[in-house]
Amino acid sequence: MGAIPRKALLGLGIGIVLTGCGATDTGGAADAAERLYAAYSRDDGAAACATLSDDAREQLVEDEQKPCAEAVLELKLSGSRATGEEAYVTEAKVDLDGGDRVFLEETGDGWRVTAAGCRPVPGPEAPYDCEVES
Amino acid sequence: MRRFVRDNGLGLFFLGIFLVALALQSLTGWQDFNNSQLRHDGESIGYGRYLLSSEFGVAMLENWQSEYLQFALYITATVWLLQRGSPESKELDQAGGESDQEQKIGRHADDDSPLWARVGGVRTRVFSNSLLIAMGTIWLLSWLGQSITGRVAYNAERLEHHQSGLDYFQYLGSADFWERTFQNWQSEFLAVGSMAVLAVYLRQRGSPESKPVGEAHGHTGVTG
Repeated sequence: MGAIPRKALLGLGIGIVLTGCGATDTGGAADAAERLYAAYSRDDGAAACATLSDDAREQLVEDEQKPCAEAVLELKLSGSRATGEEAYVTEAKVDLDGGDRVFLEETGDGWRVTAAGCRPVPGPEAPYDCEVES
Repeated sequence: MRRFVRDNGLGLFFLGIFLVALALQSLTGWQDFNNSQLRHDGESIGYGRYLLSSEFGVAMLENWQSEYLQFALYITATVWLLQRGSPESKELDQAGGESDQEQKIGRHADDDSPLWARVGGVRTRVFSNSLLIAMGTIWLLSWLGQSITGRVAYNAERLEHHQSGLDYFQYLGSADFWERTFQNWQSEFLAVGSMAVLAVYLRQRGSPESKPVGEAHGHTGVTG
């Protein structure tokens, strides 16, 4: 049942340093969410679609049976500026001033929106109800 | 050099296999994380970023905390609790902290006893419990680290499913935190308990964790 506290302490120190680095660099998540809402506000469907993840775009087209650039302008989105942001590893959620929440994931091309126009649903485990989601 | 290796073989061996196992865990964990990312069109991340991620942190620390808890509990429990016939147990009339004479404390110390065993007072009290203090502190820090990194990893999963994240105290009350904790604790408790009992009847020739091969099953506190 042997153990070496000094060596273990050194290892633990490294571990604790690592624990402080849990949250990810969110940088562009709020920017990507604001870009979607700005494009939506100026009726620029193509630019709005460019902020969506591949899965979200495909789901929107399938749901609305229209090209993405048309379908995205028929969503009910509310907001323009990010008021809050949280990000974990490669996932992020951005709160907008209109009350909408936007979910994003980090891809090889930067942050992409996986769900937008989201509103909370009662219940601690309930997913948000979103206008568009992958 | 050769003498240093011989004199420290046990510590060096376990340090070596610890580092190899940790490296392999990090490499396979990185691959597993990126496989999962690819399944839902996410971004693959580099090895360095994975090493600094909470995904790796929680996978490592949830095991560390349970190992150090196991040793801290074992150190404490074996002061008071006995197991007839086990080399892990003290003799049956030795339960408790024992006398200063038996523990070579204060005026009963040998010439080469550690200073803090000789001086008395707070320093001797601290030194008398220093192994438990060290192992217990590492356990608590590892468990704290598990809770911090576990929350980040769990919230990533929740956001992926378009749920809100949990704050730290919500996470401490979550099933995810306690399931990670108990799944590690139960395996440690099983292993250490079975070791104490199996060593009553089974032997490993030459190991101080075992009684001598020919020692009677009923003899307690004998190591070979």
